[in-house]
Amino acid sequence: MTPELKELATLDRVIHEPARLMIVTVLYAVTEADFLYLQRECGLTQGNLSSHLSKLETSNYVFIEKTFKGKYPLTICSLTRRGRAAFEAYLQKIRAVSDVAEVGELKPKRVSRK
Amino acid sequence: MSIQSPPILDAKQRAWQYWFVDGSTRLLLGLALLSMSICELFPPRPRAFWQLGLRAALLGLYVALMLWQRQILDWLKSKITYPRTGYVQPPFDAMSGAAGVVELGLEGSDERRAEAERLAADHRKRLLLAASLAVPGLFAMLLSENRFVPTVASVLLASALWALRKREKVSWITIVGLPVLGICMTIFVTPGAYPRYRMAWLMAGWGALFVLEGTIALARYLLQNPAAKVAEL
Repeated sequence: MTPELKELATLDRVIHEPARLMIVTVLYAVTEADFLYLQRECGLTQGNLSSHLSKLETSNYVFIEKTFKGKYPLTICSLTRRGRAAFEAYLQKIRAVSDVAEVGELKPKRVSRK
Repeated sequence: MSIQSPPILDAKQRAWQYWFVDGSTRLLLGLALLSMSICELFPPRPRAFWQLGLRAALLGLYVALMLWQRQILDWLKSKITYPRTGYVQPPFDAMSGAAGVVELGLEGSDERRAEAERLAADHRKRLLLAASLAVPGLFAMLLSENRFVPTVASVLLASALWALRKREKVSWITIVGLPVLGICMTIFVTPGAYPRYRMAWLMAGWGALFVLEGTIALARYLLQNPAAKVAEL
């Protein structure tokens, strides 16, 4: 087993979940966005997004602030410093594994049927 | 460190384009251009107080749009856009916030870094191309009295907008409308008109095209996104 493959076991499970990965990717790119924008971009239901955001907030990856733009109430979400660092570390681990796969170390060896 | 991978770049691009999705940016820009050029084109006659008042109102509108454009846009978007499709940090704020960030790719991800660098270089090239097309066109309008200058200048301006169309979401209405406007000016505006006067006509036409583009975008946006229930956490 390569050390890169071993690294997979240490992937951040909070970010690894697909819906949360989408949320974190969008927030990483845009700095801050409100609940409705995230919901539309990620294609999640209100309840689903709400629960994933709560998990990210519990892990201190996302900062959620209730504010107003004019009279319209906004729930603004942004990645914390810790969240950004965790996402960057996560991507580096994934990238390391995919690099190994490209080189061929993880490709299954063909078994001769003769 | 800031990572630039295709999904992140895509999210950034979508956030940038989101700023223009409701047409309000174009609408305000068009109104500013129109109000300024109308003031230039129709100076008030002596003792015509209503004309004087109209000019003052247009000038006031222009100054307000120039000085408080961002605040007006924010107010409009808080009424129209944010309740319907949500809020994301405006691209200009995101750019100023990221100004000090060193843009680096992932270690070992040469292809992705190359892709990000290619996109940035492409954007710089397009901006340079647009400026090199627009600036000579505008100078020619100000300095030359040749009757064909408006046509050439409008084609140059339209080409500059065409170069920026992807990122800035410029509509074909403006890209096609500008050359048509230039040709009309060559045919109909008096050849001996002062260059400044012709410039005002061009700006008025450009403003009208932006207003048309903004209005259509706004109408389409409102039809596609009827007022929804406020989604809250």
